[in-house]
Amino acid sequence: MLGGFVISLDRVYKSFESPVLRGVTLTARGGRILGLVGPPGAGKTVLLRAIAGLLDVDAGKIRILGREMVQSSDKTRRNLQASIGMLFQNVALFDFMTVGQNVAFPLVRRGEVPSEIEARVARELAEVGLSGFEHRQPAGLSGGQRRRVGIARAAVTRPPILLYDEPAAGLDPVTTSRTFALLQKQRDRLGSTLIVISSDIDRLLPVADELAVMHEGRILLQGTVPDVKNAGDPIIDQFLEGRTDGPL
Amino acid sequence: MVRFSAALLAQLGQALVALVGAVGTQAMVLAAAASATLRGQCDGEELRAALLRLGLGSIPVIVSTAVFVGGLMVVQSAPLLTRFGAESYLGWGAGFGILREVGPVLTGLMISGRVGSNNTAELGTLTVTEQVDGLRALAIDPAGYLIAPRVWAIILTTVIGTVVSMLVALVGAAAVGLFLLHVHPLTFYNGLTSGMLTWRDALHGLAKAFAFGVVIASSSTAFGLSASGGPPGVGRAVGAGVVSTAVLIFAMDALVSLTARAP
Repeated sequence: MLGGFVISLDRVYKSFESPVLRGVTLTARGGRILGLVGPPGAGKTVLLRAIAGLLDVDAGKIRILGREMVQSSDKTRRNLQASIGMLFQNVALFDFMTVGQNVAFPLVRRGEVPSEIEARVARELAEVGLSGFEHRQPAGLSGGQRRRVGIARAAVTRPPILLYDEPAAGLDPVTTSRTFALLQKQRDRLGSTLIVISSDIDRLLPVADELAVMHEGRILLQGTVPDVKNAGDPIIDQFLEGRTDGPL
Repeated sequence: MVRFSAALLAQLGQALVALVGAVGTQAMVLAAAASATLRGQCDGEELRAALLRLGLGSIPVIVSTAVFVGGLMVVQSAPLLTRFGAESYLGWGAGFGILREVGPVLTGLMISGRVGSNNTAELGTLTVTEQVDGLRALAIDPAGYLIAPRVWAIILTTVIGTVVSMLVALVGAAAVGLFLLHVHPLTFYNGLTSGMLTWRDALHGLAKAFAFGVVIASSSTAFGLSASGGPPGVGRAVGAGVVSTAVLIFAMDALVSLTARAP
């Protein structure tokens, strides 16, 4: 799928009390980082959860690795979910497990042999700079450390798709830079496709291969970073430049 | 007056919708647990852990409650038995009450308070912190990993706990009977096994225990998985779960008692 569409969404709709996704059309190519940005309440997190198969959309198509996710059987959906690693906005580490057990959990459920699990957990924790943290409890970690454990857990099965919801939220500038460098490294090392939601536009733009700007449940524009920057859309310009005056 | 009636009607309607919703969610919990079990996806390791954590940990509180309950039944009935010289019926009276009513109901309430609220709080926390979604994102079916093991662990705990509670309460009743009414344990035993109590009475109590187990498991799980709004939402779910389960226990008690009345 490298270069081809690993993820494609066609006119996806979802409403709760009010419409949240209003006909989202989006594509993500293999081995690239797609930055998904937009003002709060634009529907980014809901969109990411729909791609991960965590909620049923009202209408539209979501194709993952060429297979339809919407209205698929539970088995198909779980098979597709197995090809996705996800970091949630609040990380969602399992509090009843140690750091090592958290990272190992997806491998344990897949029936990998213990020696292989141990080696891969050690490697993923080393990748995120948390070697030796295997026996620590998630409750005893800082926010940044929890996020890095979440990133390690998402990537431990080497999935072709990684979905990251605010991977650098609440982190200091140095840790934020390290986190984004880590995402680039994951793309290069695993060849995965990453969709990254981030409010930190300045750190996201240099690492993103493509950008999709979302507003009021729709994708305003998707393209390379220069294309989006030069599109001349007043909403996009105001958002990317962080100005207070404008249509937003 | 008309406005008041309309408001009352609207509130009743909302309550009815909430009740139907709650019953529907509990039915879905039971269906998910049954389906995961039939598909062989009930996680054995989680079931073992839940039985140890929820079941074994409940034994001390069940035993201590049962001793007092058995003893108190004798204390309350002692004046009447003494007045009519019917001390030899102590075993039958205590056994009838303990096996058919007091054993299952009190055990059910104790397990609801300890195990059910614990289950709601754990599942509520997992839900509001997105850990349940985290499982689903890892392609792990919460029905097999979270729901079925807890439902079975709570049902088994309630049934086994009730058996333990019945036995301990009978021992407590016999002990208090000996010290308060000077009824020899053998007389107590003879009253218990005189033929006025049959295996149907024990089965009646066990049927109630099973029904209470189902109610506690489905209610506590449903309220936990429906929690929303962060830690305060978990607190609300626990409170609502405990109240709802207690009401359902008495409703099931009445249902089983009426459908299987003593001969």
